[in-house]
Amino acid sequence: MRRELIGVMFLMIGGIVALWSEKFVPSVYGVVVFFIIFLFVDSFKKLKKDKKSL
Amino acid sequence: MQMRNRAKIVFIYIVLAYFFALFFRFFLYFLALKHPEFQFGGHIISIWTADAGLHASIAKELLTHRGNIPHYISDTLLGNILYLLTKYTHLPLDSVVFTAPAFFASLIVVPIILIGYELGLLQVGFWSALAASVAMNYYFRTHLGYTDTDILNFPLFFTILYTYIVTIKRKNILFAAAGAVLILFFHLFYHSAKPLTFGLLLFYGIYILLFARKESVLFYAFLIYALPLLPIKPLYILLAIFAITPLLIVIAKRRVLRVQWLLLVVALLLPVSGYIAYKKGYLQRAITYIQKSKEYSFKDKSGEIISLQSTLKTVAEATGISWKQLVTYSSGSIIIFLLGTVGLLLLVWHRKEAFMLLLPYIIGIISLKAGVRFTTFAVPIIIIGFLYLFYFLMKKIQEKRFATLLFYGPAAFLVAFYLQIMDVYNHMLSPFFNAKQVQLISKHLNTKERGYILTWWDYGWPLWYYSNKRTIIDNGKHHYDNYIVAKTLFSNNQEFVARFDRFFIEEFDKRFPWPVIPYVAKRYGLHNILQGLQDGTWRVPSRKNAIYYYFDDKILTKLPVIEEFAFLSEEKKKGFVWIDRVRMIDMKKGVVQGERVSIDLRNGILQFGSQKDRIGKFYFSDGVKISNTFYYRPDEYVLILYKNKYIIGTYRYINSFFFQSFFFNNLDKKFFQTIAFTEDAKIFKLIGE
Repeated sequence: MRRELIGVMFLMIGGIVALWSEKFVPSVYGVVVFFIIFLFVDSFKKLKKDKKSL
Repeated sequence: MQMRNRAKIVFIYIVLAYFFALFFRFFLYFLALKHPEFQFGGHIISIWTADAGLHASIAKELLTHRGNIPHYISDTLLGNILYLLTKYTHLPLDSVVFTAPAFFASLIVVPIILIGYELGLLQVGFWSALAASVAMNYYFRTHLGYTDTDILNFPLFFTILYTYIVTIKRKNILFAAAGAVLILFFHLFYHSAKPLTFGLLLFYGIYILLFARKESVLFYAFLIYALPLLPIKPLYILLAIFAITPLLIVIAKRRVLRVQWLLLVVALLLPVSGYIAYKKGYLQRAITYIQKSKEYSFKDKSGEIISLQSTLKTVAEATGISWKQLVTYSSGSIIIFLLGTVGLLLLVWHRKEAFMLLLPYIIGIISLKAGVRFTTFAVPIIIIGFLYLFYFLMKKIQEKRFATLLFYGPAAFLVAFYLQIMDVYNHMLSPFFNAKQVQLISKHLNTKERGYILTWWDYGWPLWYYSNKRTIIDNGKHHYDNYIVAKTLFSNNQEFVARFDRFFIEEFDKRFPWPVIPYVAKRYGLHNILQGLQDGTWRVPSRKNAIYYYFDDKILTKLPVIEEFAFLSEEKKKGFVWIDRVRMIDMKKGVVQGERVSIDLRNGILQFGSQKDRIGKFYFSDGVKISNTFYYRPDEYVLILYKNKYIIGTYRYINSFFFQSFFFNNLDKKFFQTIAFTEDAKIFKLIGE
């Protein structure tokens, strides 16, 4: 659920930036890239945590 | 407790997805605010498609009682909803009409998330809901200002579909009862809903026969789902649902009937419901979309059968489409379409209940024959299939590093992709009438006198909304009487036009809103009337109604189609007309280049592919006056360059009523008065007869 919440939040922030900057494509795709970075870091953290618990 | 938590999560997902859809749908509102020509009377112009004009007109009629709406209109529920919203929220009707699609169409997220939840794929359901709420043809047909029944048709259809899935999954008859009530509402809301709900019932029957022959509960559910198809009053159906459901629940618990008997009943009920659907005309609408008739025929007084062109084959959205268009409108890309199809089949393979999802996919494919509007059904399904494929792959490697990226990456990119298309599409949209046109219509076509506006049927519903006048043809009624408008527009004799329009409008007024052409043909004989009106021997009825003519640039692209309607089937056409968009004008080189044609201005030669034609005259029109004329030779082939935007070519129609009024403002002042002649719109009035 956390990923869904953050995903929607990122996309809506992208929308607000698009409205403000009038640059739709870079804003929306930009936040998708940020979301993927978040997923990457999240997975990495989880991996570290799992290793520690082992 | 766990169940309650899951319900809470589903609820949060639905709320999140709904606000997401609402938020992005309002982007068009912010875009419209930047265009002064999209605003009138302090509001954004509410009607962005002709269909919106109908429902807005019904709401306006209920608020103002103007009396220009025909009583044959069947889909009045949305108009009533708009009326109630306006009345009780005290918001301006224009604002309610413009913004209603965002609030209603965003409801599509509810059934999609619930379907995902029921299939054990909540994340797939959630991301599919985000994508589908703004995707392709679903967005194209439900954006702000597109206030048509479609804004609720799809949420309703997919919610009914969800009740089928949940009935199959949980084997609970109560969901079937809820589904049957929704079906009943759907039938009342949308005149073409019955073929769709019948399709769902058929698919459900096939599912039972294929996969659930031993599940007696599903057989009982079938009986409940079949109730809304009964040819009795909706209230009786509702009572039957409430009475029969508890009875069937008891019978199902006590296992009174053996499954073999139930199987036999369903096997028999399938063809019986098909027969009822056929006999009652439920399937007629679907059949007319697939088999478009070429002509409308009626009997003349003389006994002769007269035929006129049929309209459905010329309605853009009802015309069959290509595979490329199917892919574009349903998914936006061949990759998404193919992966979505593979994912959908995989989903059906893994979860049998998903079999029901194949129906909207098949309806999408039928659009190849039935028209682009049907691709909308496939939009959410292809998205679900596409995301399920990546979800399945993620699950396959879930122990591996960064497995989540395999699902969430494509999901987020898919949403972004559809948002990008939505943004591009928003920039292509504009209201049906711009601010200046609304101003002219409001000023000149809202006079106290009772009257009619003669124009092509595309303008009908929007004109009902902005004026207090009637039309003889409209977006819902465009068959026999198209001839009256088309004949008017392409007739050269203006005196004849004046008599012809007076006669048919007064006759139509007596029969309003039913078609007048077959009636007068049977009563007087069509050829007699035409001949009499031509030579002035036919007595024209006295004037009871004002007659106006409204044209704007939108009619230009319709001219070749209108011309087809201007002649009876046995008549030989007088000439032809075509239209092309301008690509480039080079006055130094003397070349006007269109998308399909090229004109050599120096020699008066038109080139179309390898074919060359000599033209007589070339007019330059700025929308109000003729700014320049090139005269080449005495030839009836004439070209007009209009607003540097269109090239209109015509052979033998340059003296017709339409060309003389629209381009030259040159109507006979004995018969016609120019009310408005601006760049945006042209309005004339019949005064002579």
